[in-house]
Amino acid sequence: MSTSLAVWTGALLTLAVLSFLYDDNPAWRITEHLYVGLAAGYGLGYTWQNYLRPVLLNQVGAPGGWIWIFPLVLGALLYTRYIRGWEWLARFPMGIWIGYGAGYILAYLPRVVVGQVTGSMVALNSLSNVALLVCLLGGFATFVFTLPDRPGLIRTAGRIGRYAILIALGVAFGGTVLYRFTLLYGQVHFLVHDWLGLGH
Amino acid sequence: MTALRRLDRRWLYLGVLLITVAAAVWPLRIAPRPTRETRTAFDLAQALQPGAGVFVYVEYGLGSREEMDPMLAAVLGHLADRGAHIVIAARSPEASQVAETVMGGVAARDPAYAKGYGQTWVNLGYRPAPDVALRAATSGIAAAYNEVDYAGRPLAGMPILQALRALNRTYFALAYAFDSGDGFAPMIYYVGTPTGLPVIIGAISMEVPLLQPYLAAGQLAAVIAGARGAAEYEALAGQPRRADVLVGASAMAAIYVLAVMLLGNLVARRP
Amino acid sequence: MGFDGPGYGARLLLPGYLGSALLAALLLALMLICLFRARHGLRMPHLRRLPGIRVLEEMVGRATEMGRPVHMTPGTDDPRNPQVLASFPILRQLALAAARYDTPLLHTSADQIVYALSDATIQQTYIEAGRASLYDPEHVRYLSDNPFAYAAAVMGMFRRERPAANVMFGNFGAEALLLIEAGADAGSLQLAATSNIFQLPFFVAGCDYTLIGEEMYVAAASVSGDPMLRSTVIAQDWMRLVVALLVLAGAIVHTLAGPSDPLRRWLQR
Repeated sequence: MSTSLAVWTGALLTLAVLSFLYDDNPAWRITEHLYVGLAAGYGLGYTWQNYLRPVLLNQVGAPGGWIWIFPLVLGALLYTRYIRGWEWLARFPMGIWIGYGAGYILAYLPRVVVGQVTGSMVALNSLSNVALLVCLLGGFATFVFTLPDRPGLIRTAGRIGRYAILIALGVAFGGTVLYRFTLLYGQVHFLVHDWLGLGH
Repeated sequence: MTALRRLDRRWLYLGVLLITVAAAVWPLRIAPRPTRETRTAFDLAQALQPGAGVFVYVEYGLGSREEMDPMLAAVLGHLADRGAHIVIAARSPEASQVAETVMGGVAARDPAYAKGYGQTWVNLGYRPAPDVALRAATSGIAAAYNEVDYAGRPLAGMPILQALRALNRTYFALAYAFDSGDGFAPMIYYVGTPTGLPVIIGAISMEVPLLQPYLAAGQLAAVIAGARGAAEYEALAGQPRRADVLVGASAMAAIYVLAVMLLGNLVARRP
Repeated sequence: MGFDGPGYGARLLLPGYLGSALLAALLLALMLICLFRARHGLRMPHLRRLPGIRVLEEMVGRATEMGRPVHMTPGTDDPRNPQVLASFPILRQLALAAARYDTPLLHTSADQIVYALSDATIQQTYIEAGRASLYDPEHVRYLSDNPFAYAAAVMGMFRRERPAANVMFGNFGAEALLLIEAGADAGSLQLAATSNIFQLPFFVAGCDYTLIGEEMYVAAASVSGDPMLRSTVIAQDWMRLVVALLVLAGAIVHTLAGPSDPLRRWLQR
């Protein structure tokens, strides 16, 4: 059994969280509130340490760094959302933010999409290629919204597409369950191995 | 049947917990046969000449360490065996710490890396607006990362960045992203597609199916798939075995989940 | 080489960008046409009604009958994410129904700006519905910007307040499954909508109604009745049709012409 305070704290909190699976209880509530509070405190430290401090030190503080004052002020305008009568000022940084993001993605996304499109232009000489094309076109048909009474062909294709999507989601579901299980395994391994000193 | 239909879900939770505890106390090691994708990833790294430039982008944080750390360690260990020069960058401050810990462990085993920081490897860490940093790195790494490494040390004097100036095919042979969901797209958009640098994704098992279209279109060179891919890679590259225990535990869980799902679908009645 | 490599200064288009430039230009043109038509009140195609949207009212009705609240969350991302923006028309619709049925609407968020926007939306909707007195700031909650801490708080809240309906409309990360399980445990009728492909499998498996990907924008557009939102959805619909035809044509050309496939080569120029 461990003699480390950190391990004991971690182990007891893990058990308190797991106790929620049985029912709501005071131990769980304490951890719940502790977690929310810790996340708030951590967030503050994290923001200062990783965003504000490096920017202030390395960028604003550097020679010629005064120019960074403008984006800083612009960013600060986001908080005017909380000042009654001044909310409209927050639209400027928001507009720049969204516009910049959209422009950036528009510069880089289409070439990747074209790669996907040309990659999907497969020779129809094998069953898997035909299946790929049918599922792909079916997937497109699933997301046709502007034809309220979709023609029969598109409706059938849409149904095939929906099944193809569900199969893909099923595969992703399986992968996710396994991934989540490794998370649980890690925590249980910590309890069994680091805390209780059992196992390998 | 009726009793099963009314089964308190807490019994199911208990089942998962028992299996996990059993897997932790009596580990079951399964070493799967390498898939074609893992072998491709291995072959690409195996073909590297000593001193070849490799970019390793770490995206995953603390929540995915259990599955991803063994994979990252196996690949970095293999790259170190090949004598590659490794430039590490991270998508979050958390990922930067993760990368430092794992690379620290790998470097400790090899004198060329243990004493070679700044020569054989460097950790650039994280920079706010990570997509912008990644894009900018394709034309100049040091400037993109504000001329400092993860600990704030100046990059100017580091020989590795004298030789590997920009993240493109002129200087680098391979680029990796170790990813839990948000890292593969920027790597394809801002590095792989514009520069033509081969990109390998080390992925959590969850995102593997979603990477297939990129593999099929040739936008990715290879994918290492979750704990299973990590176990395969460890075996191929002769690295310390850590992931095969995870594969064993996942197999036990998969059988349990499958049994519960089958049972659930047999007894369930739609309301 | 990247964009900044030598030799690219004088070129209008980098090699390999012809196809993407054409597609991007076509999409922009379609959007502008649709926006123009919407702005001038010209005829626009109708959008298909999605089953998930028809149930919003029913969900609030159910909560009213059971005497329990309705819960809505836009997920854990910030308002730059279009999925989060798409949640506001849905929130408005839900708040209108809640005002009509006099049923408490709980709203939780994991981003300060989203919180402020949601709070304003709910308050404004109640005022417009003539039920300003129903607005309770205690019902609109910012919980934490850490997704798991947020989920922990929602789980506790669901155990204690047991909402009868749960609408999850926005971008979700790994916390999605915790929210679904909390809703199932509280016996909530659940509607989920997201474009986050990693979480969709859970929503499909665990919720009563799911809107997949693009459907959430269609839902937002048809609920809001905003011609601008509708026009972007319609433009994207046409674009999908163009791409589908392109792929089909490409596959046929590729089958007939083999590796010398001129269409593919032209697109990749």
